[in-house]
Amino acid sequence: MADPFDIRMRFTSLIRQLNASVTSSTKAAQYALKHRDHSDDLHSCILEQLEKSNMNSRANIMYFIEHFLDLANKEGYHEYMKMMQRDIIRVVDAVAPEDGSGAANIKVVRKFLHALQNKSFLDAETASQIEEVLRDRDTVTQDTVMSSPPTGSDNLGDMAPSQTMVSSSSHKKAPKLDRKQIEQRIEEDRERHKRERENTWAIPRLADAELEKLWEETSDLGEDDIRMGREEYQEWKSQVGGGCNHDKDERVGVNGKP
Amino acid sequence: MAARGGYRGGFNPQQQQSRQFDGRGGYSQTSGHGTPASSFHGSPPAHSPYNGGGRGWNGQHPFSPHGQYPAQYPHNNYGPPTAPQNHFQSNQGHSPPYPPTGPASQYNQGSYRGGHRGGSGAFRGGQYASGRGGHRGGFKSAQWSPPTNSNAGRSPDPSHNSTHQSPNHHDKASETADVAMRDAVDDTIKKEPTKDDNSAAVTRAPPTGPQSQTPNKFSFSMKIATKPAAAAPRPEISSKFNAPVAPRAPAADSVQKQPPTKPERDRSGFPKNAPTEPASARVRPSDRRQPDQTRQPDPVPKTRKVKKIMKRLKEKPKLSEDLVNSKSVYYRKPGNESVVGSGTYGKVFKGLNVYTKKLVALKRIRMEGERDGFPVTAVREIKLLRSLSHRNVVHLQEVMVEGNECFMVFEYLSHDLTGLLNHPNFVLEPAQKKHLAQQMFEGLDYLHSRGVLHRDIKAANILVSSEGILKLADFGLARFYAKHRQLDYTNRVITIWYRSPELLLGETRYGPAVDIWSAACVLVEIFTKHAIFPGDGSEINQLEKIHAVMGTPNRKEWPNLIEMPWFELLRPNHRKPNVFEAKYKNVVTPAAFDLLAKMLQYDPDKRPTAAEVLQHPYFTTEEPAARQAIELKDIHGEWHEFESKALRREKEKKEKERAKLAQGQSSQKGDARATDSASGSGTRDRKRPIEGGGEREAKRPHV
Repeated sequence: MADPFDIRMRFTSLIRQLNASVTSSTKAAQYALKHRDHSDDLHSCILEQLEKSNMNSRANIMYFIEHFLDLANKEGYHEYMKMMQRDIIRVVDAVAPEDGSGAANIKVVRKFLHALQNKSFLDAETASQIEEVLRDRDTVTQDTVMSSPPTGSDNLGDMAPSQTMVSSSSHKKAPKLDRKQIEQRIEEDRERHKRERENTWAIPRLADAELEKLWEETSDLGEDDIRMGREEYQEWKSQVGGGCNHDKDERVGVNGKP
Repeated sequence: MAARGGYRGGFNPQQQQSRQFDGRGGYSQTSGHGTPASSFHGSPPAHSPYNGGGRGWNGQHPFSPHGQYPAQYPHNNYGPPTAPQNHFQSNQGHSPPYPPTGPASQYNQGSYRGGHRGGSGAFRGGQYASGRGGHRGGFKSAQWSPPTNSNAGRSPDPSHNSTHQSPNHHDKASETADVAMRDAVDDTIKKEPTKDDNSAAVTRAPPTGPQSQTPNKFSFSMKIATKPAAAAPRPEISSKFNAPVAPRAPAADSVQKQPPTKPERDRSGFPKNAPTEPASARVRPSDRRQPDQTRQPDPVPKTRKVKKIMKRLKEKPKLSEDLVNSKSVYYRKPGNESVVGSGTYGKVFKGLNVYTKKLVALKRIRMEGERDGFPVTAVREIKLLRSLSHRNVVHLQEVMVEGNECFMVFEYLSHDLTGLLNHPNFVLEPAQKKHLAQQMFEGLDYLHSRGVLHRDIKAANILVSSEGILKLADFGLARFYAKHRQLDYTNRVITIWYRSPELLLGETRYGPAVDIWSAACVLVEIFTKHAIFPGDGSEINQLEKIHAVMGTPNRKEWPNLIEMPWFELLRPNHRKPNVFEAKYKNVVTPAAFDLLAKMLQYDPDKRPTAAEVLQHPYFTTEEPAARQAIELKDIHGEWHEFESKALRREKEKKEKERAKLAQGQSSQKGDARATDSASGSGTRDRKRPIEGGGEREAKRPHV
């Protein structure tokens, strides 16, 4: 049995290596579950990394938490969930800090909270409180975002970062995001999106779920259907009609020349 | 057997005939009765039973009205007939070319008469006669053996012998005969195709023979009863024969045709009856005709004749050597010569249908690195294309698996928009540009109304035929979308130069407006020959390019701007003005400018649909009206992005050499012109590289 320090070090490195892939987060989650004796320790480890790392890693850790709680609950181990509920504010603060440096993460946090709520890892009251805080942070950016086109078409092209556009609080964000990070984030988001979509076809195990889904998805009869019908008719005509012509020819060949 | 023979011969001649026909050529039928067919074809098993029956028949023959049948039978029975067949087909090589025919004739003759034979035998020549003699006397053994040599494989020989020996056992023979007949028929069928030309000729002769025989028989026998009966059956037989004949390959027909005529002639010289017998040989429709004509029995046979004639008329198409050697139906030039495009999806080749001579584009589906079998993207593309049919959407003709590769076969178009716009001296007139644009939006409108997002509209994916017809191509990224609900899709689509701002900002819930943005970019290219947003391949830079022209987006114009997933990630540091007007207002007509400005709006909801675009004044009212670019017919060669790239590289090389030469000359002769022309061509060439540039590759998303 590894000593607590060793476990902590290993888990830390697993958290650091998190990316958008499912395997990386599953690996970390399983490690944490295996060493549930040290759950306190490992939980603090998550928070620590959350506060230490960059914006992309925070998003990754956040997605990991959701996945991790899922697994923990499946295994009937609720300790981690309780600790996370207790520290949820801290998590949100770390991922979408007040200073605006995590503005790009606000959408992620919202999604995260929503998911937790759906899975009843989070009660509605807490969720709505956090949402309010987030909205505040969001409006900070909203107010300063290009809310209207530049006045007139005079030469504003090289205008220095204007006060109206970037607020003092969000000012710090720019330097923190370098090009590489942005591109990495884009790729990771795409990867996650792909994962999400892998489940879109799934149908709940209800009696008429499939029927309902089809019913929902099928649009009313309209112009498109008529058009499609016409095209199919044309195709049918060209295939079947052609065969008939052939037959006709043969018949003419046989009977037509007495 | 004897009983049967008697029935058939005397009573049911027609029935017999019909049976025979059904089995296959008239010959086989005859064989049915007397097993001649089987013997002819060389099917040994048939012989034995038949022979037994045949003997019985022989006795009957003189009596039996059916001259034809009986005649044949006897021959078969004897075994000699079979022998000849074998000889013909299998042994052709052994026996002189004629001999085969000879034997065939022998059969008939023998069958017909007892005494006729002598005459016929005489005709056909010494060969026959000798053969016959051999047959009849103790022929079977003698003749057969030779055939066996040739046809060693055939088991008929033994059977024949046995049958001959046991002629008395008619009953048994008859029983077996039926089976044998079937077998024989099968055999004959199989054999026919394998026969050589000579054999074929022989075979033909026989068919005619039988027909002629009947008449002859009649004449010989002069039996009143038989005549009418025979006449009636004939038409049926002929018709039946015809049917089977039809299936044969045209080539075979042509070969066969000639031979049959010869025998007939011979026959005509001789008694008509004589030639026929080879019935064993296949009855050819053509052969029949001639006899029929002479007889002029029924109209029906004539019609059949008509059919045959048509077959004769068919000429074997002649192919050039490379086409003949082509392993594929779609011939493509060796090496890289046939490549007309390549990309992440694989390669596109130009192919020529060897038979129809039509050009096709073969898109090879890449299988390398596919761990999960046939790529699902290709399946999606095929499925999509199969459901589309519009004059402005490229037509997928078929999907072909060849060797270990899979190809999508498209109609071939000579140009694509990139190649065309980069053409060194062909310049599109405004009316032609309008026509191209109109076709593009008509194609797009069709796609969108069919619920398809193209998701890779760009100049290089738009093909133009030499008649100026435009077609949207490359549906590798296309997908069906829900028209009445907003689903979310991947945002990693569309070549990045043509990617709309919402996609660049991470939107996954998008719709047809993304294609409109791309089409607008293409439209700018049609007008100016230059891409409007040529970024370096990264999302960040691409957005900067757009901002540089269209200004930075704002919430007033695009309320959903801040909802974009990556808005915070990619928000610009500087506010930029919209300089689109300054840049393009004077380059294009007023209506065109208005249309472009509408399509290049940041807010996808505000962009017009393809149908609305088509109703824009640019298309409906502004002069000049759209006009098809038929002048493309006169363009020399084909202009694709791929080719123009290769050409450019080559020209650059040549240009260097020329420049060197020119320098040398100018220095020597002091001729200024040379340098001028060299530098002139240099500038022209340089323009193209800028457009087609190597950056294109980077634009394609890495999937």
